[in-house]
Amino acid sequence: MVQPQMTDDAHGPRPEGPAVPNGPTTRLRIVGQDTYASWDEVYVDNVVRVYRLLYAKVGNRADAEDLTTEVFLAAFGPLRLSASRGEVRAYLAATARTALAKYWQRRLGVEVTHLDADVAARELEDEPVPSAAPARARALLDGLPERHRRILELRFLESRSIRESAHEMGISVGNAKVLQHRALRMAARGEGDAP
Amino acid sequence: MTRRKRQADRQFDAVAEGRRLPEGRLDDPEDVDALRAAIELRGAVPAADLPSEAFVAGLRDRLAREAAPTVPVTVSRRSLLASAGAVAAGAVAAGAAGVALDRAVLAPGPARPARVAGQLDPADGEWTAVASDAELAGGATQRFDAGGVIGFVSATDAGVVAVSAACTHQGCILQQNLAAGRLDCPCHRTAFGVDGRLLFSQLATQPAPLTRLQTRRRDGNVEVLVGRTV
Repeated sequence: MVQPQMTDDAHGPRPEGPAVPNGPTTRLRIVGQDTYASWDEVYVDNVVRVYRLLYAKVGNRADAEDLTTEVFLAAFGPLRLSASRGEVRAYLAATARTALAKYWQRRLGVEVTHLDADVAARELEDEPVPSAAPARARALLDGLPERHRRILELRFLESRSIRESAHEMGISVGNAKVLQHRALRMAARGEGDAP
Repeated sequence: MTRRKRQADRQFDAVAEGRRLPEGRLDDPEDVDALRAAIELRGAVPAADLPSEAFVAGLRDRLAREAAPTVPVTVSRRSLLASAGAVAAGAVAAGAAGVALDRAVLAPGPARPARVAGQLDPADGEWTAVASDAELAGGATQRFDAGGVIGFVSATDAGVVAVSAACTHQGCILQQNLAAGRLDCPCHRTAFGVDGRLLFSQLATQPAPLTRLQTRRRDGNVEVLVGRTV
């Protein structure tokens, strides 16, 4: 029987490096020697990570749940338990990437977001690093004209309805819709300073 | 408003409202970029990207029923190696491009006051043997189910410790992670040491340490004090 490690180290016996790998050398680290004891452990250890990875790419719960399900169903077939944790995660990452690409093709006929296998594998690694999402959101919003920034904050960050948002801003629902459309395009172009 | 614009707006609204994206076609690359921006914005909502417990538990059951192979399948070592290779190759590109896409909400924030462990002290308790000294030799951990309590008992440097297996967040039953020597919560990314202290958690409010049970050694066994069973 494997003896649990009585250690202060939360991550067990794996050698630990920096939280964010910065090159191919650290990348090799994830292909460690230790393996999972059961399929259930593979699932428990990775489900939240896989879900978050996909949620970040589709932005809604229902699709993230469907994709997560697809990833585990697909991966558990060809995987075997003798694979190391690193190999299992690399495989889950590659499966997630494929599932996402197929999802976009089916849904909209165009790949709106993309999962880099290396980024995915990194995110499936042990310790989460501080999220870059708030900073990226800030970067998208910064520099937009006040009203454009406000409509996006209300709708996407504060989850307010279009009606509430319109009311809050003192404009009509129709205007709020047009504003949201324009603001998203502007944010995407990185044209915060555009009129 | 043009039809094409309405089509794009349906997508944007779905993201804003957390709904499944409707099927359709996005032909204008600017709409594609705008949808991507919407998804990114949505990703900044704290904790919105945590799966529900019901989903996590449901998929777990489903996988146990239909997916987990009972006989190891011969893989495709090649495909594993290929994906690992692709990972290694991609890392170079990502490093160069400065890609930093981690979506974890959990920032190692300022230290929070440590929360205190509770102790289960049944009014009408009964000492119940849950493991032999031999089973705990060498610092092993044993799971037990006694008197309505599921827990883990371990021999630690500080003596024998028994903790409840119920996560102090929402009561999910913890899984023993043998490789890492810790107890993992299947519901949210949270883990405890076998002595019950919190190791890490994705949750904004850090859960309290695990509830402890009283233990004693008797006749070569470790006993815990649990509620009397009828």
